[in-house]
Amino acid sequence: MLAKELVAASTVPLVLSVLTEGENYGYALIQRVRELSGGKIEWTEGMLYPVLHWMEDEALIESEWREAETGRKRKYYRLCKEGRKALQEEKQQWLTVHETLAKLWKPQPRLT
Amino acid sequence: METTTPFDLNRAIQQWRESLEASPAFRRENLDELETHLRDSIVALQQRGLSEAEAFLIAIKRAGSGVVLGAEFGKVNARSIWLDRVMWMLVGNLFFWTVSGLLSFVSSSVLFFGIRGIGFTGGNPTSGYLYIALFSTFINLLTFAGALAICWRLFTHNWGPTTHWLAKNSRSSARLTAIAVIGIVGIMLVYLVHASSSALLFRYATPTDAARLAMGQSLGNLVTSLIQTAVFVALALWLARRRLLAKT
Repeated sequence: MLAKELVAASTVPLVLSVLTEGENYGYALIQRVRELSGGKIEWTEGMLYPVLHWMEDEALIESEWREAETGRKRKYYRLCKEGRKALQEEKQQWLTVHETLAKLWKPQPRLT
Repeated sequence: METTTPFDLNRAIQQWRESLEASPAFRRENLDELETHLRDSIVALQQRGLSEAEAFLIAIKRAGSGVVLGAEFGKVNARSIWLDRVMWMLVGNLFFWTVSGLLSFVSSSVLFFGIRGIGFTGGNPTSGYLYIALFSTFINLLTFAGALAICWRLFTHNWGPTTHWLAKNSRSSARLTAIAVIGIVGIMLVYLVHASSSALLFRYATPTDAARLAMGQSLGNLVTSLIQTAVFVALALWLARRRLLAKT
């Protein structure tokens, strides 16, 4: 389980990254993230949908109601140009944090 | 004999949806999206061998309570929440003045006939108008208390069925217009009756009596509005305190 603050910070980059695989709807986004994280990241609809709507307002993503194979209407989200740009920035920042931590946590060779 | 009604998924989902509809935090599109999500969850749970009813119960539990969902969605739908508050403020205002208008028509009539009863005509002019001031303050306050009590009763009443009925009818613009016209005409009638009550009062009084009556009444109204303001401020403060305490 991730800390609440980390979940909040990572939702936007995760959504943007999953959407680079192609357009998707809310339920499947949750499934995909659960699968990729080995069940460690469990999103709820109460958390995800408001974030998706906020991202839509910010023009990072856009949405469209369309009929799925099941005959039921679903709201599909896809990346916008702004979203791709935002993802590049997020990627830089997360990699910086990741690389810094990795260097610190790497077992140091003992010089004895 | 005991009968078990078979579980109706569509009905259960409809009821769940209606319970969320009561909150201004959700737009209709949000509810559509949550509903498709719920249906997807139910299908997935059924594939794991759960019955329809069990799958439904687990899926709504996972979605979270209406309060939690409402709080999350409210963050992005702040505008509709504010519109909802303004609407309630307007409704409350309109309601209070309509009820008190109706009651004050009754009290004006009581004032008019009551003053005749206590021997208003003739006598000392000064004590005459003080009497009226006192009497009209008393009646005004009675009206105010009555209006407050009726409004309070109506607002704490369960409005679920009424709001549901209104929501259903407001989808058709013809019906909404009909409801609006009936509402506006009704409220106007009340105001008209209220306004005409003072005309009635002065029609049957001699000029001197009318002057004294007007003097006494306006003094009474002044006292009443001071007391009304104090009560409204106290009520607002009390509600604000209650709200703050409920948050901690």
